[in-house]
Amino acid sequence: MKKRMSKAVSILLVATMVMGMTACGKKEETKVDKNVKKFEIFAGISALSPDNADKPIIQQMNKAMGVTIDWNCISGDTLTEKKNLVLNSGTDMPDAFMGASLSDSEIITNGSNGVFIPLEKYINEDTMPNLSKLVKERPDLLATCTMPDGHIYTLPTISEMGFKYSDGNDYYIGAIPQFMGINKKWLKAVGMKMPTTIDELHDVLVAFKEKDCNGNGDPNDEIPLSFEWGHWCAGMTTLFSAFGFTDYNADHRAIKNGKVYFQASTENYKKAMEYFHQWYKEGLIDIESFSQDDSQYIAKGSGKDEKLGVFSWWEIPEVAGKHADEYEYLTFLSGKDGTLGVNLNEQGTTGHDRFAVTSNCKNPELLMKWIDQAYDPVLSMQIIYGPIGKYFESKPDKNGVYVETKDAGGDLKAKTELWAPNRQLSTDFGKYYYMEDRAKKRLDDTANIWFKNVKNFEYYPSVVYSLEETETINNNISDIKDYVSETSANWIIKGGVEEGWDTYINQLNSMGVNDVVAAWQSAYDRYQKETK
Amino acid sequence: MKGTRDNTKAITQKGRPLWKRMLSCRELYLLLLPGIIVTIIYKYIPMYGVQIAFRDYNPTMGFSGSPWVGLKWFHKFFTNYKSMDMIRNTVLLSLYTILWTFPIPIILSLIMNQLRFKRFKNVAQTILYAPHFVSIMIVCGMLRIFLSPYGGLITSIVSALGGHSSVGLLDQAENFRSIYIASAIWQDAGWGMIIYMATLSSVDASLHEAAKVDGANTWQRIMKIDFPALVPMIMIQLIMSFGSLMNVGFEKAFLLQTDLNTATSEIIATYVYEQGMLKSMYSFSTAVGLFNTVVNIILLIIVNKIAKKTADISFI
Repeated sequence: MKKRMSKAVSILLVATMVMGMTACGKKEETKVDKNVKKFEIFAGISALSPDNADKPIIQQMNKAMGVTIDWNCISGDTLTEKKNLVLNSGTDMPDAFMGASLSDSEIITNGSNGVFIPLEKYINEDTMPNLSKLVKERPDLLATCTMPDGHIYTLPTISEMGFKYSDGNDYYIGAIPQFMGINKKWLKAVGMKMPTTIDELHDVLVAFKEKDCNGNGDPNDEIPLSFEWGHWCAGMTTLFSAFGFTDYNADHRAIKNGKVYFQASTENYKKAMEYFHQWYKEGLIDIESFSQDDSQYIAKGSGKDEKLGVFSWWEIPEVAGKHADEYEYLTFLSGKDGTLGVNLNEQGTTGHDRFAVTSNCKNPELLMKWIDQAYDPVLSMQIIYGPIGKYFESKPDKNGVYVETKDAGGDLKAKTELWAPNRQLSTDFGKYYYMEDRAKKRLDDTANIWFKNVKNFEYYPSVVYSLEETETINNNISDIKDYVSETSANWIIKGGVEEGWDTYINQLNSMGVNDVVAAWQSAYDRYQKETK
Repeated sequence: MKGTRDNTKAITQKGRPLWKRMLSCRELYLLLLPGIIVTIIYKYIPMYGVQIAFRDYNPTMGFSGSPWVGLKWFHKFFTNYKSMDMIRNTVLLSLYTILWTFPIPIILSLIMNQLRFKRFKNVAQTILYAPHFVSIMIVCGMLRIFLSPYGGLITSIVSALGGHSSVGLLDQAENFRSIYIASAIWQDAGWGMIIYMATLSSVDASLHEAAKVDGANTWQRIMKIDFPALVPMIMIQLIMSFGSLMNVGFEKAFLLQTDLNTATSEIIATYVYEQGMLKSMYSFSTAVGLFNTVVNIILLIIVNKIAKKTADISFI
């Protein structure tokens, strides 16, 4: 009986396997049908924003082209997860992905798979007049979104918000992403002057910790220094300038005299880790710095009593809230023997993660015509910020330039913006709309305050990687980043840099860090040759 | 009654072919059918997707069309610097969980069984069950608030008792397992005791009366009457809990994970989620998941063998 039973079971197994296989039959080739005017789009949206279908700008775009769109809008943490599921399940494929922050490796893989279709044949005067006009103004634009296999799978976005520095070059608004702020009221309360070296800052932080600086009667609720470990704008690497570097790049990529290297394996990095462990031991660093999220961080800064002595962010007001006037920039500090080094953040004005069309789309031409409207300067303005009548005044001023309404600023942008391809040329400011005051202030501060201490203006450019380089980088970099982040956080908290350093370097080597650096270097060398 | 009669007939008539015996108790098989169908649809059919662990999965080519890469993903997993730590974390977390959470429902049920004051017994039972119905998301949210370094309930208690820490309790890797297990006991011990209570209620009251007449005290009665009655159930529960040894609750480990406690909180399940769902390395994460399952099956078979030898209870 046992034998017979097992025979029955195996028959059952085979049967289910066959069933499963037939379930995954061949996919039909999508035929082009010019009459199709209905599309399905998977879209990423800002967490505060309503569904794309409810946005006036979308309704306007649909009406102009006579199309209807079924939106599948996803926001927040689930975006990556949902996007991966849709891209990899092979079923329920939408006609296009918009604002879904596609990574280069996703674009290349899905492009070569045939999931995304090449778009270059649609980029012409007839189908995409606005984009073609833009390409005429910025001839390099299409090269930045061409993948190593020679195809364009995603449409470009350009944002030239920057400034011309006294050295004659243009710099981007994010050249120094982490601005440190220090509480000058507290400085006065402890009777100390603005620190210029890292050791002076140390003494100031000790004083912040010991005294009741905010005067609420509790000497223990002052947090001398708070940050978010590894965060692009709330990180702490601005303080590393005292050890000769800053580590703004998330991949720890740095360049000096044309030679690319890995920042987190340098001797300077080791010294910084050792130094800041001392601060942690003395209780100068917020113990939540390694686990808090943006909302906790901002709550600390903008709460009833000011709690933060020194913090880091894109700008002071967003974190400090109503206490913003009490803070002042704490610019780059120097270390022993006057060491002071800054590595600028990498400069990029173009992106290409906003729009891709899938092979499921029956009428790509119309869809491309539809999205081309996003490259119209006035529509672009409304995509980046919000609609005319809500974010901008209904009528332009006497120069024909749109002015922000009183409600603009704060979180209105996050509620009205659309994650779609767009253009923002440096010449658009003052012609179609004015630059927002916050951005203007940040650019001025970067040039006039923060750039004063910058000696080295070299940065890694936006290069185009070959297929092979992309593969090397993608296979290794995410594990390397995780490892560096975990190990460094543990060093600052628990110490042990001296003992752990050799193991750390060996581990990085065995994880392929040298291959990754070599890939960065060869892409850079090729870029230098091409631009010369 | 017909079913029962046919059933006995089927057992006694050993010589008849299988299908005839099956036909003679068709009502029972009909009852079994929905269960079998559900198992096939949800457990067996998806299994054919496991082949992507040996392939370089590409959605356009489908499961069976993607190129065959053999053991590439397994090799990648075992050469990963984290893999040994993850396996150790998974095994230790589940072993400790079983070790600590397994005996408590048994002890609780033996105690509850001795309670004679009905109303108190009911209230106590309800209080013990209640946490089971709180969603795991909420439990983890509560834990994060209680363990917060600023004004968290548990942190305050610890520091009032003289404990001092410069790191949040949840951020210390060495605390992770204790937090995980202690909250598991709080949440599920009451619920787990139901099955033992049910077994105890079927113990013949005359045994207890006879023991009392013979002068046995409460302790002796628990050890000689109640506990032996529980042994078969304990063994079954033990096998079942070993069956899911490597499948420690993913949600809870993931929700309690912070960047600083990954040294103990990174288990295979959270890694599979990270690689598969977030980094879309489906083949790799399937391979890791498959490895996890294979280890689990081996463990299950070993425990089953041991149980068979010691208590003559077996599932397979």
